[in-house]
Amino acid sequence: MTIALQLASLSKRFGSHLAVNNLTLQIFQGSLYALLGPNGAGKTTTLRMVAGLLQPDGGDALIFGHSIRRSPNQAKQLLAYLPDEPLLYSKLRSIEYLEFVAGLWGVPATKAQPRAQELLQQLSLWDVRSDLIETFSRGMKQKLALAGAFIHQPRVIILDEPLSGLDAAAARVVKDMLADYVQQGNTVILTTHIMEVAERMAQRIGIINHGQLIAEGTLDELRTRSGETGGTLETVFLELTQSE
Amino acid sequence: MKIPVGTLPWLLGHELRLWWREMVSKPGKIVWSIVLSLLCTLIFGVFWFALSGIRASIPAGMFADVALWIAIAVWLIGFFYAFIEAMRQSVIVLFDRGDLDLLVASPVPSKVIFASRLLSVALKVCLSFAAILVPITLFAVPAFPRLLGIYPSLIGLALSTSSLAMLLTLWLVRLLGAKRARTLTQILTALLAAILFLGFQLPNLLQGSGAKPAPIWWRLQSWLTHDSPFAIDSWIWFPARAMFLDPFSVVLTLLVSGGLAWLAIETLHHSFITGSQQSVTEKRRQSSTRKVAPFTDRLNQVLLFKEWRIIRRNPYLISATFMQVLFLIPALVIVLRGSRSGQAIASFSTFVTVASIVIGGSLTSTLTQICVAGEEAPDLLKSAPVNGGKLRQLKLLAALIPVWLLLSPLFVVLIWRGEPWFVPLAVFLSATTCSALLRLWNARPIALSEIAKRRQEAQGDPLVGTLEVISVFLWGWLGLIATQGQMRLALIALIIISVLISVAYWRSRTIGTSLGF
Repeated sequence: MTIALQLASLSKRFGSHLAVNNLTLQIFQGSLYALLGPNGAGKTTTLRMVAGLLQPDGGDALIFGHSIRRSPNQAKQLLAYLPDEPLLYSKLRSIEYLEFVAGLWGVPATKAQPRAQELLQQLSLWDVRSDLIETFSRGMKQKLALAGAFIHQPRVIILDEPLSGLDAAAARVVKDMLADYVQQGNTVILTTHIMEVAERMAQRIGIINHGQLIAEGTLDELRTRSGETGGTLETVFLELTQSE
Repeated sequence: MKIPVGTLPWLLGHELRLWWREMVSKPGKIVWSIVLSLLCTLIFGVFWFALSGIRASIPAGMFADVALWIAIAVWLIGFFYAFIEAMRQSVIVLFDRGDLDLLVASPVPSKVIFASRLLSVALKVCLSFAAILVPITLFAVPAFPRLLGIYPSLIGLALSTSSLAMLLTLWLVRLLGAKRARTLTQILTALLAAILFLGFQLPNLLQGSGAKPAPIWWRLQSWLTHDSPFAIDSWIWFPARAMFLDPFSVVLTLLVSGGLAWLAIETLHHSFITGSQQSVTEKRRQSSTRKVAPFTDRLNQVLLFKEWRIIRRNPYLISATFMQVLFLIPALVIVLRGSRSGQAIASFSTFVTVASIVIGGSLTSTLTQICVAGEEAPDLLKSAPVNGGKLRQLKLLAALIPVWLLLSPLFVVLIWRGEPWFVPLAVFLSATTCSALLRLWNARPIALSEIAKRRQEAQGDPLVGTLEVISVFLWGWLGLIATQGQMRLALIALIIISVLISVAYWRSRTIGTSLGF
């Protein structure tokens, strides 16, 4: 199997606080990987380093073999990153936002325009395509940011809490979109505090605490490791993080 | 004594506590206020003691009219300033403060909530005069106890301007909706500040060529003579007389301002609650499904259009940016109009050069600030497969192109008049590029809404900021002497500018950037 993302001894320190400590991990192509952990465990810092937003103090992240440190542009070309609170341009219209993101990733206009229409329709934003983003609700903004992440058809999508702010119907659409995307051979890495989402969607789960990967594997593997045979992901997660 | 909860004094105490916490969280603001007060005290004190001999020799009542005219001028300026401050504060209490939901949901009557907000605005207006009041209290009041009238006068001023500002803001909300009202109020505030500034420059601007004032100046003066509605003995100047503790005027001032505040509270408290809720829950306008323009995939085009769309759709930002031009006009007129003998000191090409440099430099600097420091999605840019250098270059172009286009007609006129145009154009292009670069090197991330307010954090490094200001003046000087053919001096100016740019670049590299892309 092809490795989509490889973290090799990734480390990051903020002052005296070691946010990510020597993190090593492999995520395979065509899978949905959930990275879980308590607040302040180092999930967002890890993802921001992978997306090239933070410079690691040590180690490297490779996206399909392209180092984010040595060849950032090749690595970023294959990647999309959606932060937990996406910042959008309040004075742009939603369709203009997608045009801009597509332009940044160099997607030809002939491909980008129909793709933008398809995404906006899928996420029920087509009717407000000409509205300024500043008039959008939090959920609409989240959906638009998601459309922005999908517009250049990245091979790896990194999503930090992608379902926050979405209503039940929108959350369902997003979950279906992610599942379809993985089916097409792409890779999705997400963080979430909703254990049921990770339990139902992820093929593999990584649990991170104090900047270190404390457990990794399928749900069954994690159950065995925690001794919570037949337990839910929530009980497994609590057992593993509290026994640390 | 414990203040009963839920009453007006209790809410006012809450407002003051929040204001105080905000003040102490920004030590720079307190230091600045203290320095300003000390400076005013020093200047006032020096003049007070220096003129003490002359003061003693003047018979009492000799300059009563002059003193009243001064009081009228001070009151008018104070009113204008207080109104601007009150408008600014009313926008904050209506739109920016996030605690109205809590208050409105509580059983505290809406009238009490509105009254506490209005009185807190009035109090903040009063406090904004503190730097001037300290020296007056220290020196003038002990010598002239009648000047104690300044305090009731100030209370009257603050109450009436706060009531009027609230009235105007809420009327605009009703008329235009919360979002547009907010923008318009901010534009009005900026416009009023510019008008106040131009008002100060009125004598200079209205002065005719040479020693003779323009006819309009005479007409203005005739409005102030006896038997006219604005004469010194007219009743309308009672607020100024109140400053000298004239009992009738003091009572009238307090009655009128108190009445205005009471009227505002009685009539506006419902609209205030509606307006504040509208600002949170304003319905989106009917979605417009206009035809989608064809996409473009050229990065240059995509980024430039994005920046220009954002600028174009921020009317407040545009107005605040162009207001700078208004501020520069009197200075340019004074510098370039001519000497007292009526002899113009500058040719048309010199005027074009200096004006384009000063105005263009200032506009470029602000537009660069909007495009670079005001970037709303730095994470998106950083995570895109595009070099940061390329993005910054394009953002500079996005700031420069509108300024070049805006001021290009001046150079077209130069060519049309057959005057030398190459040197002015070259200096203009260099000066604006230099302004853009200096702002880029000194940019710190800031929300777009904060840029026009010129918050401290938007100013960046003080050294580079100072170099930015000096560079505009140096370029202006270079333009002036280059168009007058003094090439040796122009070369010296160019060398100084080069040194200055190098220092700014070195400094920016040393302190690094926090832009994030």
